[in-house]
Amino acid sequence: MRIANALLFAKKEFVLGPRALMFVFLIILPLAITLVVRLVFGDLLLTPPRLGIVDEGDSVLVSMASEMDALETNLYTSADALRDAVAAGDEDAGLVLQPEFDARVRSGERPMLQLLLNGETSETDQTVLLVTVVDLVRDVAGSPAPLTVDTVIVDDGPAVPIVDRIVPLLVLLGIAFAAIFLPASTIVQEREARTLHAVLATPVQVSEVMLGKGIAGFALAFGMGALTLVLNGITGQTLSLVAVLVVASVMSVEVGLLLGAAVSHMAALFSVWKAGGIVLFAPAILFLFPGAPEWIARIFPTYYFLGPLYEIVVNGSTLGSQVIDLAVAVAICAALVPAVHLLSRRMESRLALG
Amino acid sequence: MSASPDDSGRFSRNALRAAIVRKDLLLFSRDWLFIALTILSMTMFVTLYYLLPARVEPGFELGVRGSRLEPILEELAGGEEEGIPLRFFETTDSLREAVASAELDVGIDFSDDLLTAVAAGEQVTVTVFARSTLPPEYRGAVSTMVREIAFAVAGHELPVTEPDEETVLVGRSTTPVPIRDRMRPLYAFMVLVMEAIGLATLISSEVQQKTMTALLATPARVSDILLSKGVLGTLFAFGEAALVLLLVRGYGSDPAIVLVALLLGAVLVTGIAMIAGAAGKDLIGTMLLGMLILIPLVVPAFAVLFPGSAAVWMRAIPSYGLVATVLDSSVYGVGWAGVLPYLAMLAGWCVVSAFVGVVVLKRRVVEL
Repeated sequence: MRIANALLFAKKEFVLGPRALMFVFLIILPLAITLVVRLVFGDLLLTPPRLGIVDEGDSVLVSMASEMDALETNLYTSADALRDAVAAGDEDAGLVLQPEFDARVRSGERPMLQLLLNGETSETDQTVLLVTVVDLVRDVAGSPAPLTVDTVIVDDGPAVPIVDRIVPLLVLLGIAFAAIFLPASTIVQEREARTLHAVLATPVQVSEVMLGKGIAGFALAFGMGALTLVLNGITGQTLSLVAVLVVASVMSVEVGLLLGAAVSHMAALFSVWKAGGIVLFAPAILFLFPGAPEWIARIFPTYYFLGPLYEIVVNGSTLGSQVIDLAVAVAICAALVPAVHLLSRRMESRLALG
Repeated sequence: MSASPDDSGRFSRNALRAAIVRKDLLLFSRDWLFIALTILSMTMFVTLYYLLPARVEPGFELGVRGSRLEPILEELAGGEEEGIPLRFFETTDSLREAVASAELDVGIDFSDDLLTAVAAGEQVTVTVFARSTLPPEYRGAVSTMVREIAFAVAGHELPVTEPDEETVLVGRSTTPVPIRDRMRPLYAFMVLVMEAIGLATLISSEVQQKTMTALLATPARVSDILLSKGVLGTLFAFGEAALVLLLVRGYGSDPAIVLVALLLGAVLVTGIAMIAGAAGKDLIGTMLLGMLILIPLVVPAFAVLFPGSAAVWMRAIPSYGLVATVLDSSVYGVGWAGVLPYLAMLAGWCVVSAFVGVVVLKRRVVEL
């Protein structure tokens, strides 16, 4: 096999690719999805517990609550409107402050705390809201806390927004389209159009064509992955992220080449893509829900690069702490090499037979 | 096709349509790869459902070091069965190490003389170990909990009267809904989307291979071909989505509501499949165009994973009626009256989608 020929084919993919609608779509689609997902779900993942308040008097608790980072506060004009908002889940909790609330608290009258909690809010958030409201009432009462709290951050990880849990999914979208779908579909297309048959009449080997498509897919996938990270404001730990993206792009390209060599027509490729999509994307979807057991995600091969990516981006972990998972990913990549080689040879034989 | 003419030599329209449907079914049934992968993808959806937790997991676990504080802490954390789970540690170092190694997100280190110091009115300092990834609201809540513990230890009662739990909890459900149940509309819609893309590519290949033109050389009219494709696509998408929802126990108290919603959803995506199948220049173009149209339609299915009212713009997305109906019926047990507005909205979008799909595909077939 001559690497120079493979590089020539890779260059051809890049020169001719942008003329094809598919190529443009494959680049635009993940970027458009990134934009939509950030716009639509960014707020949902970022929002702290929401507290709606009706102030029937003139309580200082309202301004105290609105200054807290731990809460998002919204004011309502009537108790009924607040109850509806809490019942619909638009607020996690609702607090009605009766007239003279502050004065009654300070006088030791112990007025009824008119607090509503949305039943669907997680029990953790319900506890957080309840404790926070009680603390605010203590402040209104003017009771000085009998102790001070010293919070110590015990790791040196960056304070990463929770919304970044979605980043592995977005990166995978970019990589999967560029590294799996692009090489697979162009190989199948060239088989259907019989241009690969024509290659057999030249000194060029089919394996060189495959490698060329693999190189092009890898470069595009790596670029798309890096671009997605930059678009999401993830720029730290460059070397670690580069290592993960390289492994992710290699594994994805190998899957793409396998598909291209194994599948004989486009309709079949769509069927495989349809069924295989869940295998590819399941770990990234599971990362959205911290409560989902990690062992489920570990069933899927893409976990072994998505897991390190998640840990680095979201938890600020170092590459060293992710070396085992990444080593498994590298092992999967190595195991795929003979499979790609075998299927390429089989495809070449079939092409030769016409 | 095996439609036979009547005595006058004419072909019944229904027999012609049935023959076209049979032909397509035969083609599908011979495609073992398609059948196997369809079954595999449905199995994976169902498996994923049962693998996901059946209860809502807590946001964080709290580590605590401090003697004689267990009863107060457990009451403040919301009890043993619910609320924030607690783990007790013997030493400051073991607690700090547990947080530093990400075993826990946060830990409270109460000094040994806390009880006596607070009772004596002395100011003490309590250390909270936290990870940088712990959201600020949780960090603040833990500090607040520490202060409340001190108030409780010092014997300061709450300056307000607490209402009972029944008065406090409101909403359509008084317990958090597990994410796997909220995902039911997503499963249903993803199955519909996959089938729509499959149908779009089938239509596209028939347009390119001119099979549709060949059919026009028979007594079949364009309308017969379009109706047959529409019926087949709808039945396929509906059948698969209905089966997946059955397996994930997604029918709630009134299965007819979910079935009607799925049928309308299947019509909606079939119309879109016709548009993509007719407009795409080749198979890849068709698939990508189909995805471009269908991806925004998946947004409501993701949005309902989070409690709260949908934004107005999200209600305008054609798939919202389907998602809201499946969620309300299967999770909250809402009846016909409650879901009727959603179904009416969905039916309206179905008419639009089917009309545009038929017009676009008819023009393409006639052009050929």
